[in-house]
Amino acid sequence: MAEAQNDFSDDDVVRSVREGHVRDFEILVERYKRKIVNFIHKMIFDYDEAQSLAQDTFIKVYQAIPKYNSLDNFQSFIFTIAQNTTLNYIKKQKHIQFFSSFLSPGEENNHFRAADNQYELMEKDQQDEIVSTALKKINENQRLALILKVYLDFSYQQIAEITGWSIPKIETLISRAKSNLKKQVHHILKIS
Amino acid sequence: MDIDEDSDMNPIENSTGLELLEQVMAGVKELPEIEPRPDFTRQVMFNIKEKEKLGRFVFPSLILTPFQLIFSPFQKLGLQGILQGIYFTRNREKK
Repeated sequence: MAEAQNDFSDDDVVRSVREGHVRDFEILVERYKRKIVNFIHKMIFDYDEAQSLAQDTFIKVYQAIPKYNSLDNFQSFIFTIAQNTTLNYIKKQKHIQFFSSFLSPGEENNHFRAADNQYELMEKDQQDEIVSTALKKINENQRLALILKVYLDFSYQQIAEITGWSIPKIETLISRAKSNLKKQVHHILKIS
Repeated sequence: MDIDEDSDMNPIENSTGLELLEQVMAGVKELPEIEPRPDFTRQVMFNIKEKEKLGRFVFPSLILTPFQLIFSPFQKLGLQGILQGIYFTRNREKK
């Protein structure tokens, strides 16, 4: 199956993997790796961690394949796992930042500073940097909703499937995200 | 788009309200993509195979049945010893 990968739907490949053809899982990795790496990267803005969390996501997807219901959308299934993996990582980072702020006061946002440097090495464009810096500063649920809607161009229905949130909640989160992002961009421009 | 701090032509700084919001949203939409590492797929498949091996050969010996989970700590500590200890302590308190 791996040779003629474009001829098969996600569900066909999942069925084949379930039947024991582990190598066919490669087709799904090839199909989604770019989207997943970029989705995670836009949530955390750290190149190395995005690659690592995306790898974890695919391993979790493989392990969760027995639970996948073919009535669901496979893309939503994989993005739900990517979203949970990323939000758990962000939560852990918050704990680390909280405790490290006691150990070394005045050195907040070390993690993001390191990520900033990496991001700068990859992309020099200053406007992208302003947008990404502002994105990092908004609440993670607002950021998640905005990335799914604006960056990945998902419908409200797809976002609801991925996140488990109601459509009115998603609309509220996106509206707040937009407002806060605008404020952050203003703030960054003022202090620069 | 470069942003010149001193220039009046800075598109973000000189716009307000809706205009700024539109520009920021366009900025989000056009954030540069990154490439997955060249060995990304190979790494994922390698890790899956490793996990499969672990699942087959190591996990069964580590999995405890509910019966073992409940009774093995008591067996180790000696359930009889604990009960005797409680009995003697109570008796001593009464005396």
